[in-house]
Amino acid sequence: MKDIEYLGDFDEYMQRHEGISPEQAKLMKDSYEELNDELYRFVMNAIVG
Amino acid sequence: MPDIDKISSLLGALNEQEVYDAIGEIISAQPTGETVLDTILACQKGMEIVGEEFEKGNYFIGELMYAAQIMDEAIGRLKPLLGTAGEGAESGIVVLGSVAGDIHDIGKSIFRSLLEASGFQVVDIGIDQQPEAFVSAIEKHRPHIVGLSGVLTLSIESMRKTVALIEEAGYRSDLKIIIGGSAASEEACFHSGADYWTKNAALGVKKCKEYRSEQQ
Amino acid sequence: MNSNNSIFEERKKTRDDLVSLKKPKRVPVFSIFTLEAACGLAEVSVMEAHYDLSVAEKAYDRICETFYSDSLPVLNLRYPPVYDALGSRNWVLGSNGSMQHSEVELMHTDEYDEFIAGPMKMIMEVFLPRACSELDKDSARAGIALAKAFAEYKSQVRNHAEIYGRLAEKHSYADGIITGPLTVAPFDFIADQLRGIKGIMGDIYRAPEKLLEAVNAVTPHMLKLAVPRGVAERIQCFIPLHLAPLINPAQFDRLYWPSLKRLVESADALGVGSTIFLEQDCTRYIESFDSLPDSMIAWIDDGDRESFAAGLGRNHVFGGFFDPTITLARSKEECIDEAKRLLDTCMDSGHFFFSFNRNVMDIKSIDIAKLAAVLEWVRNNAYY
Repeated sequence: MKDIEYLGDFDEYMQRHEGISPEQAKLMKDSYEELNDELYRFVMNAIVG
Repeated sequence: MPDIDKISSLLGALNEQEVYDAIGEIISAQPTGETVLDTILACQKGMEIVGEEFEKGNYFIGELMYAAQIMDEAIGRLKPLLGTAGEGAESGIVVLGSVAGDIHDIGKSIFRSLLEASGFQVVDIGIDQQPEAFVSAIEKHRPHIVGLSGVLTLSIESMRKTVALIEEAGYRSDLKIIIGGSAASEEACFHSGADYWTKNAALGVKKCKEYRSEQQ
Repeated sequence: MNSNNSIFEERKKTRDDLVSLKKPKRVPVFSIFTLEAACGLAEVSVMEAHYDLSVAEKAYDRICETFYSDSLPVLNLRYPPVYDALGSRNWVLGSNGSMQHSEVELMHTDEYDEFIAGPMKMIMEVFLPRACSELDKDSARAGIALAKAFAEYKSQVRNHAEIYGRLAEKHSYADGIITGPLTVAPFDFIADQLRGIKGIMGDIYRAPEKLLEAVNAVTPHMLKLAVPRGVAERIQCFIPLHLAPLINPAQFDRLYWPSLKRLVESADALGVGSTIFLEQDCTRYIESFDSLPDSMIAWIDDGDRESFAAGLGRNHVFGGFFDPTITLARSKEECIDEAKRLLDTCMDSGHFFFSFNRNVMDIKSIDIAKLAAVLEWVRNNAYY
């Protein structure tokens, strides 16, 4: 969801970090998105309860 | 001469802007105190129409709340023209509050608006109020009726404690106690020692009027 | 964990049959009490329980020992230490220790357009600072507050999951009707959390098109909340409805229903069924809810039981209606009779579960012995 990228856009992050192998990038992306998802749920919990 | 009776139907039909326009016309004609009181009465009649539509099942809580907003705004524009003449306690004084542990306010606000629309003077002591706060308000304002609001079932015990403290303080026989909100039920009324219960604000106002007729 | 436990196996089969719309051997019993009720029963301070989870766990255990249930009968969704770290104005502890939602207007009338253009941006930049005093500061201190609250949140979620796991193991509980995350109806999100109830009642009349756009803009978020990452097996998210019974049917049809339907259907397609709590009387909306996917489970507060049984109950799992506070004023036999009447009306379809109309929040709002007796009676007698 484009809107969620406000919490952190991985592709934009990657553009600032060159020379990373595709395998490492995949690991980083999974981890990054996992953290984004957790942060998202926490933020929404602060509003919704 | 602006049509005051039209205001009742406009408010009853929830035509917000037309209500304000009609009131604006009256205000700009430099009305007498009596005309202003008549206009307020017309607003109250409009709220009665809303209450009736609610009882018939044509209006829902949403309509009650919207009507209460229009009503509050309308009266707010008219009251300054009255000075103190509009503060009447002829219908009675009601102390109202949400009991300890309960911070819900909406239903209580609707009930307050309807009571004020019917000419009652309402002292709203707020949400999450301990029994002592109710007793203090009773000491200060000497109400005819006390309204206890509760939405959560945890409020039933708070209602019981509040009624018990009112009794202990010696005020119980001087006033009527009604409980309202989602937590109100026959069991809650029985358990708390209140006189009446309702989940319906309009019925609650009717009961308050009945009590005042008996008390006077 | 429970693989050799015949009580667990029987409960699991009963529940799984129910949820797959097969008539189980008996009507399952899903009791539900909050932390405040548990602390009342255990005679411990609920404030202490919020901040020391070992106290909470002992209190929950007392509920498990006292009241029959096929699934874990306790639930706590909001953690005060998290809201302390944030300085929340929208979620506050009542004087008796229960977390309640306070009417705070997070979104003003003139902010609809900005919200529609980018909900997440508005949430982070505008609504959260309005909602939380510790986030309404310079970026360093707001960052500290957010970090603390996030750490606390993760710890609470993990610790609660462990507590629930231990209790389920100890008491051989199977799953109940809520096995996934909490989400809300898109309309309720805009109404309850952002505009406040007073605000929304005006918006419905003054700006319904904007309101509908906002509801649609937030629907993907409500879906994301409902569907966790990496869902392996089917789960049931929880959607407690709020304003549906308060608005008129035309407003429901236009503003409330379409996005809720989309949410439930989309979640279902992604492997997540919806357990919907229908607060107050939603009888007039039975047909709408019946049109939802088979995986929708209805937990019902109030309404015409015959209509629900004949309408919704034919194709969907449903339950609720039983008001536990009647135990205060009526005899044990009268309370059991009430349960019998409810079962007679509702259990025929094989899709009914026995539960309270609302979770029990205060142990003093019920009679312990009588309610325990009712639950035992249903467990032992509600066989097909």
